[in-house]
Amino acid sequence: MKTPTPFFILCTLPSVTEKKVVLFLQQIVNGLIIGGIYALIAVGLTTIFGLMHVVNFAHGEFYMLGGMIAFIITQSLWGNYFFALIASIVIVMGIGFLVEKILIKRFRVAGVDLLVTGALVTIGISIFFQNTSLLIFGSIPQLMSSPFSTEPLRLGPILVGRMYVFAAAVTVVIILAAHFSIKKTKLGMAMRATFQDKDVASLVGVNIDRVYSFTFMLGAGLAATAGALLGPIFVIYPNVGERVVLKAFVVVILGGMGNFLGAIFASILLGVVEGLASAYISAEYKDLIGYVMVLLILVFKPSGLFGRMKRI
Amino acid sequence: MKSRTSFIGYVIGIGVVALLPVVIRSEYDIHIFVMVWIFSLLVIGFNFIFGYIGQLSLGHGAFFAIGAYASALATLKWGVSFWIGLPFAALVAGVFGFVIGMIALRWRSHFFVIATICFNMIIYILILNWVSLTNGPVGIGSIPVPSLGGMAFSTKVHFYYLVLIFVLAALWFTKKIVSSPIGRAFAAIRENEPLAESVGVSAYRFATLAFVISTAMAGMAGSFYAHYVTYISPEIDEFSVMISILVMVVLGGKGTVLGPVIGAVIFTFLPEYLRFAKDLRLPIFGLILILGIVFLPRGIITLPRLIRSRWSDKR
Repeated sequence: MKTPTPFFILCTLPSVTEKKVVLFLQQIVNGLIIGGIYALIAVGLTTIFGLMHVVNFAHGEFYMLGGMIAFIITQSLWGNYFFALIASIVIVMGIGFLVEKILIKRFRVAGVDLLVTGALVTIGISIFFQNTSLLIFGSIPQLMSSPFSTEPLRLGPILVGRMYVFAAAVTVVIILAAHFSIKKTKLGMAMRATFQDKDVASLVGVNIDRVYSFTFMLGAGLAATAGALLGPIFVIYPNVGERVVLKAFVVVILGGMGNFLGAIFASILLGVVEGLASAYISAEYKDLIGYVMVLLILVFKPSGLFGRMKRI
Repeated sequence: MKSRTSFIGYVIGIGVVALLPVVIRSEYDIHIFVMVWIFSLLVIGFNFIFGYIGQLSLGHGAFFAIGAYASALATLKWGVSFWIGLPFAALVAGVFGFVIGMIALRWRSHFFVIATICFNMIIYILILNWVSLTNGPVGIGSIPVPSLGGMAFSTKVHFYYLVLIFVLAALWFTKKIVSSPIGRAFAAIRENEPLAESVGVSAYRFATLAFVISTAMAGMAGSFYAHYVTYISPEIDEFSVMISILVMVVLGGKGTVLGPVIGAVIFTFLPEYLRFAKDLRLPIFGLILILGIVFLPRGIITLPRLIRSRWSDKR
């Protein structure tokens, strides 16, 4: 797996005495923003798992497709970033819809063990998408041009890139919207009912097919949003999904499988810890932290950092 | 009658694979076959946890790499022979397997899937960055070829027979285990875990046992790989290795003795013969995996039976 360009914000420091404090705060801010983006990816993954019991290995590819499609649109005639962002989300949601309808539904209806089969099928889908995009886009990492000026915003001594601020704002809005639509709308209620007991939900008239379809589309859309938002910050390349999905799995386990809020908190925690680790310990080993945390949590608290064990 | 025909089948099968290097004159094809047998050893091991217990491990690439590095480093740094390096590789991989099994098989299902893929990443990052031990991305070269009583297994044909013997032994071992009480416990856990537990079969213990066998075999395969190719680098722990293993076992026929080997034969040769398709190769692999799961969920090994039943249905 290739390592994408490390995460950097130009950091010009005001004075030597404040240097340490500012560096620390800067890392915290960076970590919070990256954590928010992790959350965007992980929330969809954890919801898909909680509802459908599918360990979705193709989730990273939805991120990659979101970024790639947005990149292509910005390069084309109507090269507006904001249009590209929305268009890529819509297209990837369409792809997610088709994947669920054509493949995943098939196994659900057949009544096979979705855990293993679902993992295998989504690995197949992931290989297919990765290598098809390798054919179409080539292996060169691409960076979208940012719609904002490169002059960073100043929060006192801390500098934050404008694109980061935009990404963080969109993330917050979208996660809140997803949260409220699950809590308040009728479809959201159907989702929660299915989560608790799909047979009973189905008995009382919940259209399970629609719930699954929507959940998968929602997850794909959230991942694509993350891809399109990070396109101007990180490079995007056909295999990027592999790394992304692994981070998301780490977060999902730390937050507790199927736990929406847990995934958000775990994302922010992981983002901040990684930010600090890359500054104070070592950039090479920072990725190790999340993976080791997963093994530790399985020993000490498999229900995740924040919750009680749900019966699955 | 049944056992007699299957006995004849074995003799013919072993005869064919033993005579292959005599029939095939091309060095390249023999090389591919050596790789087939090395991969066979790996997937026979993988099949223990995936096929017989029914738990999906995505960390077998790491155990393969651990075996390769353990054996290579033992022979290069301590100067021991391959015959020490091979069991050492199995031991180190098995110990890692035991620890990971203790941690992740307690909860099984998705926890196990994700824990093993995390373990895979941990090992990959360590191999890549622990330069003083593993030489980092440069890799380790000039690993000695095995020798026995003054004769070195320096040609491809020699190595062919060396690995083949171990593959046949592994198959025999698998068959013995499967038909023993342990094998029946494995099957009970896979088919109905709560029922197995209720009659006193501890899923945790038997799954851990299967995982240790499985990872030790992966370690041995890694050792053979290291001493055959004589060069290893972090690439051997990339996810593409794991995908090959999966494709071989799933499409060959998981939970059967011969299925994984058939998968290894087909899916080591297929990429070579798909060379004309060049860049389309991997997308085709992805499609084959999906289509295989949809249309042949029990693997190619069930194909003759499927065709036969179709045919008799038509009549």
